[in-house]
Amino acid sequence: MSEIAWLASLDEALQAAKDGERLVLMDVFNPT
Amino acid sequence: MTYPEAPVREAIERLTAPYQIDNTVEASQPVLHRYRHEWTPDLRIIDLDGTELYRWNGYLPPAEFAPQLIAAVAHARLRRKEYDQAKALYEEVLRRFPTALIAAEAQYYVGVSAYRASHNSSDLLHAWHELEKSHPQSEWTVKQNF
Repeated sequence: MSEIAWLASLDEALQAAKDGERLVLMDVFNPT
Repeated sequence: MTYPEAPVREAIERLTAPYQIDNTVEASQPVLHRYRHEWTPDLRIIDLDGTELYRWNGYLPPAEFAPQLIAAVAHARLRRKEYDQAKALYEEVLRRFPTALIAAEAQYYVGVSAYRASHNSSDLLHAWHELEKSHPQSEWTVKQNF
């Protein structure tokens, strides 16, 4: 099963969204 | 876990550029402050200029997360005045997830997006009539009364 390729920064996500005609999904998580 | 499920993963990858941020890391704090983060799970749909277009909090199982995500992107498209794209996504929610918690809201906004695109009030009224029939107890049926 493949995993979602989460991007590591907001700037990277914004650029990927522009390139792919998508919008950014930001998921804030707490690992504890 | 919600994310490994195929419908969730497919919707995320098709509709979004996904970005995850750990709220316990010091380097995350400027972004978290910018978006006034308070509680996890915290999910946002963000426009190309960084503007937040939609948000929701709280855990959802896969059968609810996928339709919530699709509806969230639909709301974001609606706010960008991309009415045809928005309507198609609301309709996808209804077609694929007709019993989802978000279904009544999606039916409400099928009418809104159709009306915004066509300026024809019958598009709005037809969708809202369907809402009354399919979800008579929903808050969205209350909201469509005027």
